[in-house]
Amino acid sequence: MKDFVMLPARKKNKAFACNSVAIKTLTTLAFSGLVFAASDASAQDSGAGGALTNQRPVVVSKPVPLNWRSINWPSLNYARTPVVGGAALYSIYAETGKKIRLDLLFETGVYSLPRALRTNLAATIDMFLLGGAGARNYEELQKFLADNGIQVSTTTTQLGQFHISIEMLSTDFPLAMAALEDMLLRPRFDRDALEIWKMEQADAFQGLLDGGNSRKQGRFVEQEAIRLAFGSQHYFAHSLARMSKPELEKVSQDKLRQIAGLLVNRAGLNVVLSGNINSKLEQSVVQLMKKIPRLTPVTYAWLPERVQRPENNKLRMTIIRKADLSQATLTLRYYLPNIGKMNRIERTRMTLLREVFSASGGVIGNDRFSKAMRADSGISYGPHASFDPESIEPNTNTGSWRLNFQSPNERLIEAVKLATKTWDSFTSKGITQEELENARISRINTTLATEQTVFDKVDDFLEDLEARVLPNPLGVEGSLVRLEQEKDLSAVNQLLFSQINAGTVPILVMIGNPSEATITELRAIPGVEISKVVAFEDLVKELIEGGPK
Amino acid sequence: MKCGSALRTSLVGISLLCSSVAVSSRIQAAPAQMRLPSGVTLLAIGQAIEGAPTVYKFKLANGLKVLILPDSRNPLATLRVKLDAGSNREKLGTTGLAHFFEHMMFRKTQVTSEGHYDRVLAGVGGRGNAATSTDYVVYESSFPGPALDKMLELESQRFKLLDLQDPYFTTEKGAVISERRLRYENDPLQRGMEIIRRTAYKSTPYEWLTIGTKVDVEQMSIEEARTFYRDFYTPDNAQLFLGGPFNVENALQKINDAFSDWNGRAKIQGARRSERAEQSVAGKDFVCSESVFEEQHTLQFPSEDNSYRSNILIQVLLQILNDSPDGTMQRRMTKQKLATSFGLFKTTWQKTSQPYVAWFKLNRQQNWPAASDYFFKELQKALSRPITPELKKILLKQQEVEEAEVAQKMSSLVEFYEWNEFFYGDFQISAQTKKIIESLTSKEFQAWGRDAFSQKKAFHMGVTAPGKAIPCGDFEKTAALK
Repeated sequence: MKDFVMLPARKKNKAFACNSVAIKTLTTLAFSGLVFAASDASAQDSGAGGALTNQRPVVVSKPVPLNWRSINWPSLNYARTPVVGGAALYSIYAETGKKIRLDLLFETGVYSLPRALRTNLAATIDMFLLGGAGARNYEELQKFLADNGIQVSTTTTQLGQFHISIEMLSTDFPLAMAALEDMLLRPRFDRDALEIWKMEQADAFQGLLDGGNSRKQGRFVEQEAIRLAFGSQHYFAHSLARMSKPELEKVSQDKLRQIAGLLVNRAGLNVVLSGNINSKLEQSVVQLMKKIPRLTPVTYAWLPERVQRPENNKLRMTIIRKADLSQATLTLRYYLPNIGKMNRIERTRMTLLREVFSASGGVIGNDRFSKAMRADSGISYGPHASFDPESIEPNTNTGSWRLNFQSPNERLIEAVKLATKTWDSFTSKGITQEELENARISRINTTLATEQTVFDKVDDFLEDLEARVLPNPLGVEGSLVRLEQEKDLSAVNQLLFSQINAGTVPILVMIGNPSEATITELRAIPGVEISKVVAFEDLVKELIEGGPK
Repeated sequence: MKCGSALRTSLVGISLLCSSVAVSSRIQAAPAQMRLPSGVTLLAIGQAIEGAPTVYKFKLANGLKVLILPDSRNPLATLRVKLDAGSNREKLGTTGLAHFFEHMMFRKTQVTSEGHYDRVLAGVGGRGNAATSTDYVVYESSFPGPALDKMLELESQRFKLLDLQDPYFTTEKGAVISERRLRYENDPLQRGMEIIRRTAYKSTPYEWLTIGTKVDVEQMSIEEARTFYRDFYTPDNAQLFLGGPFNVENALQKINDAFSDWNGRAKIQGARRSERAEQSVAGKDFVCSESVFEEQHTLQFPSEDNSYRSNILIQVLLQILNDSPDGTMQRRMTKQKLATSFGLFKTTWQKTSQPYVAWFKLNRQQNWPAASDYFFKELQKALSRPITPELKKILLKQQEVEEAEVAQKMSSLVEFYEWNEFFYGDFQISAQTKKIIESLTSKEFQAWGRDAFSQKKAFHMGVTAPGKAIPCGDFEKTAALK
């Protein structure tokens, strides 16, 4: 179980899933299937906002503390089997349920290979599945997996490692193992399949360039935020261009084979077998692990650069102008280049601070940020904020606060001033004793509202393995006790103040259609420096050419 | 990095099938010792998925249907209230009201202040959300089991005593206008689809988007909202689903205590049925262009067959379409540069015609006639193939996998039962899946396919890249002239 640290919108390995054979639930499908036929709209997940204002009465209801000690919290039950050559198998048992999941976490990945190979690496990881394996080309492999209800995904983790996950009914374990062995030891990387992959990537890239919806626009905002904070030559500032035509042209079958030979390495391999398992199945996994070649151990060869502290402490701003947008999407970020690696006490305190500033990332209203940007002002449609202690993972020394919101073009000045004012008040005055108490109770109670299957626990377990630590056997209870102890307001506020005092790098990026007068007015706000005003079309042109030079 | 959409899309149909499955369904006898509150009726006890906890279905004296799924695997509870109050309950002039109302349900009641709901929910450590579709609105919350009393009180207050008044009403209207900008007006694909739909589904309750037309949202009044609340937010028009670590009798008693004084009767029944003659759109193309790179097209095959069986058969068809040495249907279309994505499903709409839909995504270089021709060619081949034991075995395997996944989580089970109960009036209907597959013959399948996918009754909706069709902004004028 992890500490109660709020991460931004990333969900473990799944967020990075790139290739998978997956089966969805009826409801999900029914909704997604209605693309043309119907539409759904939800209120709470997206917040509310608009051009009208009101004043709301003060809410006085107190959180109700629930008795978490009355619940029998089971410890995580797992066994570790070392495998010669620097590998280990972890078995996590769950007798109920019919499914089994097997995860292989290889040590080699993004940060142990040269940066220039990034697009080839992405292709390699995808093509372990999409390129065929053993005697089967991709079409045959896909049919085999689908017919037998076997789900496979090949991904990179947050820390850049190569990860394969495979799920099946326990009765189909031998079939799944045979397919997995082919993928790992006899990948084909068929040339025609690689061409199809390139074609699909090129389509996806072209699709991104129309910037037609908020998801696509958000990717441009993210890229500009990285450039503003880290510089245009930063590794992450080039991520959108990875699938541009010039980069795709560098991908070759030979390179894929070369990279695959480095990725599939028993040295440092962690394997997690979970679900309805027994010793016979464990043995067959160990046998497979022993067939994986043991190569020279690898380590990081490089890491993303840290934040460059600017000469002044002004709020630097990039404005992306897109003519057809009637409202703007903004991200206001405060990078903390000096927070270092936070300990468990600090992480718990940051969780409580974040809860007060933006409860549950803004999904539930009444926190400081939502109240200011939505309930009291009616400006923003879905404001939410998050704190990330490791915002350029795996380089862990830089954290960040990210405040995301929308604003009609005509209310941009008011929106920017209100967001910065809300932040300034939070970081200069801290939180109140009452807010601390409410946040503590809320966070403790939230733990009682979690629903975890054995496979969810495996996700947590994998995160620990990725970070090269073992899970805390106390798990949930340990975290609850930590939350219960955090009653010292001054200690909590002091952490916030000390982080801010150590120096922040504030930036703001928006995509919208502000008028010239609005831009002039933004420029006149004290402490604001407009670094760049760029037309969306110019960013697109730059990407087509392969990114910033 | 693009994320495997090809694979996922190709399995959409299979998934639908797999998610609608059950192995051992049985109606169980009511335990003789079960104590029911006064006026409450036990309607059914069942278990639609093997190994899953037993479900209990009741009806309160006021007409509210209640399903309880006792499940102690986690301390979590989930509460869902679903109402037959989606946007198909609206009429032109008040479109968007169902969704707007959903927003208002999170605000003030006659006995609690503005923001009370969110604050209490956060205080107990819960999470809440809601969704409005063409056919329903559902309010969902998850929270720790020990907070049940508090949450039932909180939920029942807003269903019984919602307080619709300014300034909240006006503020919320602004929020919806903003949401509309973000989701539709600032997205050229959605913008185009709204126009296409308005024409292709004219004179039906599916003509407008759930969020409503721009004009209707801007002109929405408190009085209309109050009428909507009075007419549709009634216990006989709602279903309540509760899952979590509860004793059934105790939970039922608490639900009854909280909701038994919710009064009212739904005023309008069956008003949403489409009166449109499908012949008026058969064979037509409803296509316009917007500034998109990725085009979307659908072929819609109107159908009056609303049976659960029809939902299974379309998945059988998709499995056959996907069964080729050259790859799935989507893979083949990608390889031949005909489309970038493909899917096939049956629309789940209430008590009206429910079209079968084939949908496609194309890039700017691809052309619709070629994709459409290929689809019809493959469709004819698929409908002439026999239903083999091997095919049935594959379908049943996939069903078993999905069943195992649904059974893993209480919240998934509740959602699963909710869907079946709402659309089919039977939370155990998925138990029929296995029987439908096992008894299916080639002759029956082919007869169904010929009727369902007659090219003569299909119509085409699409938003293309610029230059390939009339601009969407001019589409309605042109359509009106025709």
